[in-house]
Amino acid sequence: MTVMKIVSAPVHIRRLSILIVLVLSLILCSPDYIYAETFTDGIGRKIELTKRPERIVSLAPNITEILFSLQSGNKVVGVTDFCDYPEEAINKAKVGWLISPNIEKIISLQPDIVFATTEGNKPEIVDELERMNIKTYVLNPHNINGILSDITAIGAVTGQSSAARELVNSLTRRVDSIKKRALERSPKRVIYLVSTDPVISAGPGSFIHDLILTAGGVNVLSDSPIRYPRVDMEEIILKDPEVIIAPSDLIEQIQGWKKRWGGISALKNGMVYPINPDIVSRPGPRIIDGLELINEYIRNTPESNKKLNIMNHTLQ
Amino acid sequence: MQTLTLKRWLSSLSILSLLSIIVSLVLLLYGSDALRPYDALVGLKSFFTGNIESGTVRTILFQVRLPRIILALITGGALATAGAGFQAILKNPLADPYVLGISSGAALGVIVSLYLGVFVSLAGISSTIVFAFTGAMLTLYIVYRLGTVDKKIPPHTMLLSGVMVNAIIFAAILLIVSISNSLNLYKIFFWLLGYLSSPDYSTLLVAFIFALIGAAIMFSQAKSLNILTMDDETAATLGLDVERIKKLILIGGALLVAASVSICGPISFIGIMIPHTVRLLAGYDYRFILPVSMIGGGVFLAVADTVARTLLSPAEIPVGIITALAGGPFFLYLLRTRRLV
Repeated sequence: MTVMKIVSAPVHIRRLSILIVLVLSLILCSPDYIYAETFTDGIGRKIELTKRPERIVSLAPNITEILFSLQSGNKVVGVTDFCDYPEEAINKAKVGWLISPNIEKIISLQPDIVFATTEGNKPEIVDELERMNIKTYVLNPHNINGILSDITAIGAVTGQSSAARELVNSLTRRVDSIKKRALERSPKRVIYLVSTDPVISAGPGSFIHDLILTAGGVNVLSDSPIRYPRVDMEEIILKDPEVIIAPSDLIEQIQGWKKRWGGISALKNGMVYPINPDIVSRPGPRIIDGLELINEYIRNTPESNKKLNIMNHTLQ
Repeated sequence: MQTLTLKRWLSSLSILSLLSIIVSLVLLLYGSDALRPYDALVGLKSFFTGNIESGTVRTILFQVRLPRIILALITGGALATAGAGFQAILKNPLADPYVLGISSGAALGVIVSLYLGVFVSLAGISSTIVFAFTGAMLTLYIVYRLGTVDKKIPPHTMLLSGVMVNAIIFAAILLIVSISNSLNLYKIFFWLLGYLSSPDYSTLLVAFIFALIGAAIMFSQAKSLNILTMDDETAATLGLDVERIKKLILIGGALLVAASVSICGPISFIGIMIPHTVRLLAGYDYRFILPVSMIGGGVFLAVADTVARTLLSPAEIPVGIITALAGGPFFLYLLRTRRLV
C-alpha cells in the first residue's frame, strides 16, 4: 500500500523517499560499509580498523579468557599454547608461546586484529606484526582497574561493548562489596608465595599485590623493589605473615616448614591456603574470583579455620 | 719467594682460618633491614652469655643466617679447590669446576627429579639433591671413560670430551624445558643461575662430609701436582704415577663439585677466579694453593652472598652477579699488575 502511495506521489516526495531509503539502508548495513574506527591501545599506539574484526588472535591466556567471556569466542582463530581456559580455547589453533609466538602462524590465520599484552609478549613481536600490516592492539594492565578497562577496550574493538559494560559492571559490584567487607576488620599481614625452592614472593607492581591490598590485607613484601622478589627466610620470619597463600601444589611443602620455622604466625595458626595460580596471575575476569577467595582467607580466624581445614580434609 | 716450611705453612693457614671465622661472625650480623646489625649483635652476645631472650632472633641467627654462611663457605671452598686441581691436571688456565660436565649432569638430575615430582627427603636431604649428586657423578664417569685413551688421560681429550658432553646435555635440557609446559620447570632456570639458601644442618653435614673427603684426596696429591705442572713425560720420568694422580684429582674434584652443585646449582666464577688469584698472590706451590683457595673461595662466596641478599633487601639478587662484578675487576687488576698466570 505505502509503496503504491509513494509511486503515485509527486516527484519531489518520491525523490525524498528514495533518499531516505538509501540513507536508512546505509545506516543499517554500516558495519560492513562505512565502519572506520580508531582506537588507542594500552601503550598509546593508534589502531585504525576499517571493518569490525571477525578473525581474532589472542597472544595471552588472560586475553583469551576476556574474549570468551565477551561471547567473542567464536571469532577467536588463534591462541597461545598456554590458553587453557575456558575449555573451548584448547581446541583453537595454537600460535606458540607468549614470549615467542610463531609470526608465520599468526599471518597464516589472517587475523583482523591481534591482541597482545605487555605482560609476557616482547615488544619486538608487535613491531614485527606491524611491519606485516597486521593490526595489533596492546594491553597494558597494572592493577584491577586496568583489567576492567582492558575488558571495556576489548569489548569496544570487537563490537561487544554492551556485553563488556555488563561484565565490567558486575565485576565492579563484586570488587566494591569486597572493598566494603575489607573495611570491617583491621588488615592482616599476608604473603603470597610463587615458589618455595627458592622462595619467591610477589611485591608491588604485581597483580597479586593489588589483590591482597584490595582484599583487606597488607602484603608483607610491600617494600620490595622487585615485582617477584626472591626472598630470604629471615625476611618472612621477621615480617611474620598471619596468612600464607600459595599455589595448591606448594601447600604440602609449606606445611613442612612448621618443623623449622614454626614461629611464623600463619604456620602456628594453620592459616596456609591454596589458590589456583592462574586466577591470581592472569589479568582477566577470573581475577575477581581470586580476590574473593583471598578476602575469604583473610577474614578467616584461626578458630573458623580449623573447621575449614577439617572440611577440606574430608573433601580430599 | 721464600721456601715453604711447615712452620710458615701452618702459621699462614691458621691466620687465614682465623680471619675467615671473624669475617663469618661479622657476616652473621647482616641480613634483613628488620633485624639491624646492632640487634643481631645483642642477640649474639646474649646467646654466648647464656641468657637467650628472643626466640625469633635466635632462629634467624642460627637457623637462617648461620647455615647459609656455612653453606657458602663449603660451596665456595669446594669450587675453588676443585678449580685449582682441574686447572693443574688439564693444564688449562680456563678450566673451571664445571668444565667436565658436572654441572650439566647435576642439572639433568634436577630435571629428572622435577619430572618425577618426587619430594621425599631421606634423612633430611631432599630428593632433588640426591638426584643432582647422582647425575653429576654419572656424567663425570662418562666423560672420564670418553676422555681416556689407552688407559691414559690426555688433558685435551679429557677437556674436549667434557665440553662436548656438557654441550649435549645442556642442549637436551633446553629442549626438554622448551617443549614442556610444566610450570615446575621454571625451577630449573633458577637452579641454573645458582643460588644459596638456608639448608638444615643434616644437609650441611652431608655436604661437609663429601667436601671433606674430596678435599682430603686433593690435598694428599698437592706435592705431586707441583711436579705435574711440568709436562706429563717429565713428571713420569721423575717417578710419578701420572695417571693415578689425575684419577685421584678427578675423583676428589668430583666429590667437591657434586657436593656444592647439588645444593646450590652451578655458581659460576669462583672456581676459575679464586685459584688464579691465589696463584698470583701466593705463588705456585699446590700445597699452598689448594688450602688457601679453599679458605679464600669460601670467604669470598660468603661475603658475596651477604651482599646479594642485603643490597636490594627484601629482594635478593643472584649471587653470581656479585661474584663476577666484584671479583672480575679485582682479578683483572692483579693480572695487569703481576702479569703472571
